Amino acid sequence: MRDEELIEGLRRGDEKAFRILYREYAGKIGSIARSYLGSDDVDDVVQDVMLRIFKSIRKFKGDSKLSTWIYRITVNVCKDYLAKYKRRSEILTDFAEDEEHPTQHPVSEIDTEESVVGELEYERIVNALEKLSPEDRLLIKLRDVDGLSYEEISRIVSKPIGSVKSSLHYARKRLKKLLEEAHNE
Amino acid sequence: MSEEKFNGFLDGELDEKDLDEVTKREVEMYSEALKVFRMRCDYRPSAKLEEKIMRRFVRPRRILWEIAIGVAAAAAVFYVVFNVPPKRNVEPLVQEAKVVSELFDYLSLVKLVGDGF
Repeated sequence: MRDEELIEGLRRGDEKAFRILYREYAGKIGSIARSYLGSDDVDDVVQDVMLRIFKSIRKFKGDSKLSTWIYRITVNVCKDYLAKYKRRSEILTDFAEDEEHPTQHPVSEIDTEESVVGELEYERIVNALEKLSPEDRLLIKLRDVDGLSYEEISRIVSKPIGSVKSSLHYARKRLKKLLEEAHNE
Repeated sequence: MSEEKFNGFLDGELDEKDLDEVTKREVEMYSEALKVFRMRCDYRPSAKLEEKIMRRFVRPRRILWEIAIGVAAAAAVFYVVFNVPPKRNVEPLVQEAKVVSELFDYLSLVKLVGDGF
């Protein structure tokens, strides 16, 4: 289904359109939430983002791609969650907590990844990623993992392209430094 | 310079052959970190969550529509029943008037006979 058809279906409140939306975007929304917040509350974020899409689809003017609009909503919802955590002094960005829920990732994928990177190296990388700020992780995720353009990222995070570029370069530099430190430990 | 090359390569502006050995090592280390990061961010939405979202947001809206259509239909029926006057058939009234008139004529005749003209 093309974006225009999907948007029309969502505006009509068509259940099929919502199912397509969920199947197409829930994984991506959850993935952004996980990169930004860690692993906590991802289901809740997905649900909140879907609710906001549901409520505001009529206001979507189509001046950006549907995906860009959805990612922007996702980032805003994540920021709300982060503010909530900060208020409670519970900044839950600890990726290590994932270890308590090994079923969240397909076992074969973890095995493959760990065998490629090596268990010790894997832990070091995870520790380095944890030390990055949520904003740094988000930029690296959107650009280097998902391969979005600077223009799209600038729309998603509501910042000028130049600012996004420089923030990303600093984020990469920080990650690189953390990896080097971890490697030399 | 190395930083520029590092970012240039990651942004697809430079080829691997344009990198010096140090930057190549940095890129390799960074790429490994990205593999781990990709895996850590992986999220598979569940069918259970899908059903929960559908139940919560989409179905109530459909029910509201159904209620609205039901109310509109009931209002239409109410309007038809109470605001459209039934067509009155005047013919039986004319017939009744004729019967009454004939009855009076008969009674008048009976009275006249009774009075002995």
